Amino acid sequence: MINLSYFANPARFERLAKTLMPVLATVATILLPLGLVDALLISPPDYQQGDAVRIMYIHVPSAWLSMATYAACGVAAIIAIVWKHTLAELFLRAALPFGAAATAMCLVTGMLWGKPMWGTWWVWDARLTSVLVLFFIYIATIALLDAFDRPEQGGQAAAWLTVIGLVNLPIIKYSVEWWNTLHQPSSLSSMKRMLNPAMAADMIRPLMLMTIGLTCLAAIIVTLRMKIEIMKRKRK
Amino acid sequence: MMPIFTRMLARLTRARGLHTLSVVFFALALTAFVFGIGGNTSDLANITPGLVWAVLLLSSLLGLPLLLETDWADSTLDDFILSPIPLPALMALKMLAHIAATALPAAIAATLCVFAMAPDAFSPQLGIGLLLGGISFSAIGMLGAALTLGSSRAATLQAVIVMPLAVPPLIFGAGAAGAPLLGVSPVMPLSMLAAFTVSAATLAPFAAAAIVRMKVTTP
Repeated sequence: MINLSYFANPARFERLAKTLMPVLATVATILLPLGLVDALLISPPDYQQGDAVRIMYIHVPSAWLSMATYAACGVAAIIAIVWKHTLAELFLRAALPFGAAATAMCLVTGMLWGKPMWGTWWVWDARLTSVLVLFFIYIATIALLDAFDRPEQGGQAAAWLTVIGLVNLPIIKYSVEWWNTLHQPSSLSSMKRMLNPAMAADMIRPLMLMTIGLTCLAAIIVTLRMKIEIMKRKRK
Repeated sequence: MMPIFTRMLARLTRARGLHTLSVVFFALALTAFVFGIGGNTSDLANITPGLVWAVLLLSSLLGLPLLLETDWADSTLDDFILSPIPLPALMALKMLAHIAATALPAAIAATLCVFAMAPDAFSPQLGIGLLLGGISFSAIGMLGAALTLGSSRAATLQAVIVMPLAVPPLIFGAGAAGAPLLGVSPVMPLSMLAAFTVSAATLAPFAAAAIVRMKVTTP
């Protein structure tokens, strides 16, 4: 078991960030251009969707990031509530706006894909609705962060709302399985399906490149935002 | 316990007439929707169950800015924390006071509105569903009131916090209310609504108590 409180020290966090950032930056700078070229030019068009399938190479990673960021915020929120570690609160401040941006990206790319494919920008299907609710929960939590005279109160209140909102994550994840929805189920939902995927290898490759690249970029953005928050606190 | 509850309820109703205001607001909001949509009776009858549910959610937001803020201002909340009665029990009483002051009158008004505007959708289950929904909205509202305690824009934030969290009971409740119009059984959505209500009403006092304690004790 890793001792989490070991990393709860801002100085240690900055040292860790200093070693991790170059690694993440290298991976992102290599994978993202490769992934983009592969997704937009090299990978084949879908036999049904044509070139519109290329929207998926942004849509799927941003959907993954919107949920992964919320899950990470949930863990940080529990740490912020139970142990009151300032760093966990700073993580919430850094990651929640990023998560909201990823969710917005997921919704917008989904709408752009939906218009030519489903013939409509929006349907009130379980998956779409639950992601929209996730977006609203992000907005409410961000609004709480700065709603108080004392920033610690905002951090704590936002942490509580993040934990309450965690209920929505499994609803999003399983919405396409629980309800018969227009949104298709995941093609890469489990290890079993990963090994025997319902997707062509030519399509999995750019999807993986983009997902890993964008996840590294997400880690870089959140770390940078945390460093800025630490600098702001130090100045006070 | 009973005198505390009566005092909590009186704080919401006697000085501020929240129970009357809830019914008046419910009627006004519903009328605004009707004016917006137009008075075509057949269209209106079909959407009345869903409309009534959405307006019930809106009217549950009314009492939230008063729910804990006055107790925070005159340091009643400090007394609550020091009191021998457990804080979650006091928060549960607060929730019951909010239910009695807003959810109950609004649910009765909603049932009567469906009876008058869409008699086909009226059934005994409708009233039960609306009351369960009102309880859910009050439970979620407790969380919103606790989270925004001490903020200068509490009322706006409460709406932004409560509405997304209230989506599940709204969907199940409106589904159950509209079931007779579609000729399907309301049992499934009604049971889901009941399950949500029971969980929310049980957990919310504990969460609200923890949040209130954090608010009062954070330096």
